[in-house]
Amino acid sequence: MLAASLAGLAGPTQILYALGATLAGMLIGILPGLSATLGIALFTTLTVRLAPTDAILILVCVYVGAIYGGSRTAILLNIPGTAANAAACLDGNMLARQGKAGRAMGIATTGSVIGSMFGVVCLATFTPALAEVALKFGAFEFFWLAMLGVLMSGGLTGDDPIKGWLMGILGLFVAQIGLDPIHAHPRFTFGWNEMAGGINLIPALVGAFGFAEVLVVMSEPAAKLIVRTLDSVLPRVRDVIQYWRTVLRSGVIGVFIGILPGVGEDMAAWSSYAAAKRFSREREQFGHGSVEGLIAAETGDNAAIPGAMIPALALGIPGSAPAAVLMAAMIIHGVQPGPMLMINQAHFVYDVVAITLVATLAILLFGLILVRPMLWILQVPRTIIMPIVFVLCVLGSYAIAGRVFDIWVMLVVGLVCFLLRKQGFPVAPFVLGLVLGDIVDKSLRRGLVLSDGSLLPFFARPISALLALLVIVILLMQVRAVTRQLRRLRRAPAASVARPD
Amino acid sequence: MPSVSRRANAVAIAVAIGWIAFGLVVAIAAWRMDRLTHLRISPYSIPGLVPGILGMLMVVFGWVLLARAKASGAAAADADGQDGIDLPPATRSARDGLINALVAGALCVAFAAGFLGRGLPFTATAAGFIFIFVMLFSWRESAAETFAAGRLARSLLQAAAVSLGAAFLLAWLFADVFLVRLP
Repeated sequence: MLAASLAGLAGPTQILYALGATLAGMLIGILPGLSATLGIALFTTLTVRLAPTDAILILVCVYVGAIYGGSRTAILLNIPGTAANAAACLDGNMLARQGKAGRAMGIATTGSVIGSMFGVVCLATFTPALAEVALKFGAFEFFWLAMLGVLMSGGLTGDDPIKGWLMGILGLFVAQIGLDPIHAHPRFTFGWNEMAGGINLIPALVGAFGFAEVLVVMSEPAAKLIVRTLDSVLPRVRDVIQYWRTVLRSGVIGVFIGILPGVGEDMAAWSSYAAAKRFSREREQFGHGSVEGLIAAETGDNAAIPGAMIPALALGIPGSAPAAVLMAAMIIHGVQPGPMLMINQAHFVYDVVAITLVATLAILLFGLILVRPMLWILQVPRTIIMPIVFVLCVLGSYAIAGRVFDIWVMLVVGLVCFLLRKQGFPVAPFVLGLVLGDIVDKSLRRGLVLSDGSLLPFFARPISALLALLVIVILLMQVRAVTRQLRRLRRAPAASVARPD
Repeated sequence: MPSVSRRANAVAIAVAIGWIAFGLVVAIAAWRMDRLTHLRISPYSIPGLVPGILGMLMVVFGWVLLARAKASGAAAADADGQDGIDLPPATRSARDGLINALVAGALCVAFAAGFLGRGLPFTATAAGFIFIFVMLFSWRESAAETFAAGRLARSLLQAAAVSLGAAFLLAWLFADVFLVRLP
């Protein structure tokens, strides 16, 4: 089936789509402020009229390209192009300052390609297995799984889990606006016809990641390119052989964290980096231009991409914010991710595996041949890029349904997310909440109707009990942390005042 | 060096109160939502159930933020032996950043909400928006470079070329290549 999927991608149109989308994704990743999530959201609107496989091919290539492209900015500007590349700043930029920017990019390319390849193997292996297990899931399990996604995303993507959870809850609430999916009763529509259809995911995402980002970028000082000359960007086989344990470990960590609902590529990069540092013989090099540190971070975040697609395809619960948008795009194109996908459209899973493989080969190609031209984009002033990005946001919001109302949604969500981000509230949990809101709502109410109001099945069924336990442990850990923090603030004021802004 | 400012703490408290208030509004609206008893639906599937729970969760977590902000403010006041600490004068870059965000926000809202969808051609409106944005921020970021004698004409030409090129390219890409309607 995989061979058939690969053969389906061998046409000239598909190759052109793959190369163009990967390049576009890399440019999005390179531009500070533009995220993989925004890239996928904008391209979803562009590809709405294409055949499902072609559209998903473009979106996956944008996803893989953006996460990889962000490493360029991390190395050259010390600013992560996407959140996933933050860990790469530590050693990548130090290598660049030592005159090894080309080598750093070669290492980033190597790590990204190996990580992504490893993830592709796991995607092909684990998705069918997980989907089979998920066939036993009912409303009770899906409720806990969705809650776990929102809690984990909220708890791990920002500095403050309480703020992350609030954003997740806000996303869940926004998803409730519109007609109730069980009884078709209008909720929070205020008699407005446009609201009855609910808040469309794409305009909301474009607002949260596009318009808000334009405002954030314009409110911060402009970054300056510190490296203009490059040494050889060819990856060195010796680096991979020398650090094969780190590469393998980072791949495993990346895929595992990708699979966890709602956690994402940034956490995968940080965890891989931390593990590499923990087990390294050259620990003192970390943060001072360590090749091992850079390869660990880049392998981890790229391995998390296919990892995040595993629960999205098998369970309908995305592993990261970009995977959430990808999942929404699949639904727009008539593919329903979840346990039934392997039964109804098994070929689609293998299409995604083949597409991710093609995207990985494309980043290898562009990573080797287009390094210098792509650096020009970093020299374009933000005063030119940001208004163009905003016009894209407007077009992207409007294109999906042809409604001016969606432009308004983008504006309101963007302004609210900008203000909340300035107060330290992360946006990724909002996205997860928005995507999972429907599942939480339907699963809880269906579960309660099935059990005639009893909460027992939510805790007594084996998988449900395990997931409930995880949710409760995460909540209790935070209750303990908050209690301790409050006690410390009351007891020793001078030493422990928290950072407020 | 003060570790917390009175104004920042006040903002944190206001944000927490905002969450609590919003959560309460959601919870009350969910409570008052039609329970569809005339349709004899199960009481466990009423439309307001999940929004109500979410509203209450917002209140709970908002309260945690409030308690933390209050404790943080009190701790800072104790540490400095006063009622709180005044904010040190905002740095120039922070003030500039805020003004930039306000100006950019106003321009974007004016373009998207004020001009689009009112019968004006999209390409011309988008080109106008990009031109104004580029010129305004080029002036704000480096007035000397943009408006120096002999450079003004070049800056204007550059901005015009970028705005027209970008507007036509985007319109062509969406409308002609991907067959998407323009606003």
